[in-house]
Amino acid sequence: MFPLHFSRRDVLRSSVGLAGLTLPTLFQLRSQAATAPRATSCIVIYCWGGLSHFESWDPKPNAPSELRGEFSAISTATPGIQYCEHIPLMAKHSDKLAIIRSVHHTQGGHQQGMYVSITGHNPPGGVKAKNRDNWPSLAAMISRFQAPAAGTPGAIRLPYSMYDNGTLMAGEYGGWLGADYDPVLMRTPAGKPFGGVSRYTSRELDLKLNLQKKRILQRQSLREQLERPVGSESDYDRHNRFRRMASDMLLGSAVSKAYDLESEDPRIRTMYGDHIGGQSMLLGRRLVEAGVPVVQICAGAGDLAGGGGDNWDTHRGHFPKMKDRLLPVFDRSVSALLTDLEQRGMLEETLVVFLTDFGRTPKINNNGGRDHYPAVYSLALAGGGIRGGQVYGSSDRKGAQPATNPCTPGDVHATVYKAMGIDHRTELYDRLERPFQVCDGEPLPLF
Amino acid sequence: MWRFPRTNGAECWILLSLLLLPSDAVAAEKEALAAIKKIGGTVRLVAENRQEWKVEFHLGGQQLTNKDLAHVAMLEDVASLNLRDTKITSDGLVHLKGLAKLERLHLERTDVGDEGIGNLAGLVNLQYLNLYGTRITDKSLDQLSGLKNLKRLYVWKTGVTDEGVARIQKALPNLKVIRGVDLSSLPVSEPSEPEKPGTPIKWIPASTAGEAPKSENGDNTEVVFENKSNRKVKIYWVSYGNELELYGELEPGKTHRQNTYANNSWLITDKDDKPLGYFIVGPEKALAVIPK
Repeated sequence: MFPLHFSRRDVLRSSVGLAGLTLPTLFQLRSQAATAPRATSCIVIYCWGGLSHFESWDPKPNAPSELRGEFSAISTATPGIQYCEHIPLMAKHSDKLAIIRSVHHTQGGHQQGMYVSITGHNPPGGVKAKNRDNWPSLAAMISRFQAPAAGTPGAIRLPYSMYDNGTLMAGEYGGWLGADYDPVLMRTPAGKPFGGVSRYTSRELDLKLNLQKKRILQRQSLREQLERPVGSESDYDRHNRFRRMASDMLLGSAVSKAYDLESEDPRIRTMYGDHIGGQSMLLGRRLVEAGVPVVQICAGAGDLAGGGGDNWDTHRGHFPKMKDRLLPVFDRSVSALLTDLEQRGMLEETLVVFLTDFGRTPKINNNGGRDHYPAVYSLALAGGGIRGGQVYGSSDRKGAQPATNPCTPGDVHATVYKAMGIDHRTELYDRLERPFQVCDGEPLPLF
Repeated sequence: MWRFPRTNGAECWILLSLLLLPSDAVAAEKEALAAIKKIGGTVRLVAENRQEWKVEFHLGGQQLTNKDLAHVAMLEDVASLNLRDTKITSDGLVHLKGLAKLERLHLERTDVGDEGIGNLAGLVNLQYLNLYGTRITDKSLDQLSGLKNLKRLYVWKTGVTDEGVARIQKALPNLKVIRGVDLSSLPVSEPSEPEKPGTPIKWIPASTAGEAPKSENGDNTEVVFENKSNRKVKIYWVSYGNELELYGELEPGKTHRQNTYANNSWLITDKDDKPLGYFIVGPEKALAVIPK
């Protein structure tokens, strides 16, 4: 018998499938879990270098002073939840944030820690940037599933690439998804830079992203140059990518409008802070508003340069650097982002996720610093259907091991995919047609 | 590598039913779907386990006008509608009256005002209503106070006042009204935060350039040079390779703020390059006073 429940609605559903969504997407939707996903966009805030869990979301006010450090804990808008005293603005947004205090992995180096944090998978050994065998970054993977609005790229990175002592790091690219899924790097056009070193060597940036109308013709001629036949496959990949960027970003009015921070209310710009950290968060919001599905923001100088400069790799002089240089910019810009997403009614559909390489050692070293510590650290999520005002998991009294609900970067990624309505068990195929499951972790109960 | 996903019988039936089941109602809705797509709107299911539509114009269909909303009204089961930044006005809202299943409605940044909001009063399933950046006032809130399921109402940059919010909040205790930051309370330019003076560092008199050691590496910090002498001086950075690089001249009584790294060495000379002394910056922000 003909199944009656495939009646009018199913006809229309499939007609939408044919007219708008592609059939594979429609079928993919059908295979998803029953909960309605909220998030349609994602902002990944990456704290390059390794954000101390003690001096952010997991203070230990009752630990001995050689572990506790110089700062105190403050109460937040949520009774019973304390943050570090130097993120007081963020503390007012605790009702929006879900803090995870029990993330752990085993990678103690920056490259490896960043790789597992940003891809959700352990590095296979000596990883090299832009190797097409690498796992895709979280941003790249999201863009694989989330179609951008017309004229916008699938994923954008701001404002720098991640380097360690001049070496470009692997992990924040499209990996085996291919060059089309490499998140596009954009400079933030305004703001006082992070102290230290931030390199721009990416060929993509040679385009300078100068979006003024008068230069578009020039760019078109660039496109024509790029469309000339090229030799190897990798050349083709790269040029294809540039061509797409040229048309998407220079000619696409949505992104060029978003990029024009001058058109933002100066009071809102001020709210984010006159720093590249704040202006990048502002640009991130504007890009999401313009229909870019995922924006990744590097919150700190681009090159760790041995811990010099404004990045989270605080082996020396941890406390003054956190208090004077890192946390004020972070606190203000993140708080402004949450305020702004909320007042525009965007926070429910925009997932904000904080990632970092690892935490910092409980014991303060002889240089007044904290060293790398992947055994337990904290991350956070906000918006996109995540229930704020909660803490998931905990570390022990010393902040040295997970005490309850230990979880991995993969679990955090699975949580992000769930919020975005992406089935994390979906099988994808790399260039050699080997099957891979999007994510090996399991979603955390944060919804 | 793209692959056709595994399908089950249901998908085949859908494709088949496309051919077998067209009716007038379906035809009308299909026509509406096509019209919406033509304007630049998108239509998809709210969620896999739901049968209702999510219709959006805020990214591709901002040219949408009041009359185009008639197409949306043709779709019976619209649960989510985004009209942000479109060209609709209060007059267009009459088309939304019949969308009884509407749960989420975005009207932000449109030319909508109190005169149209009455059309929304019957949308009892509404949970999310975004009116930020519209012309509405407290009068609109009063008209919405019967929407028992409303959970979030966005009114930033509107004419809404404390009184109006208090009234609707009283009528709908579970409603959260998001008012946003008070823009008039935000400064237009960066407030000039009072600069904390740096930690004074030691002035080491020198009569030859060779006495100032070369710079060593350290963390990024800052040094403020203050010229308390009665003559103009020159500021040289002693590089890592022990070479002098001129960074500027400093008039008597003036200060100069300089980005530096800890353990860097700075040589001060008179205007004729005769060395007077040097500083070595420590890990903290430094105050370097050039003495009389």
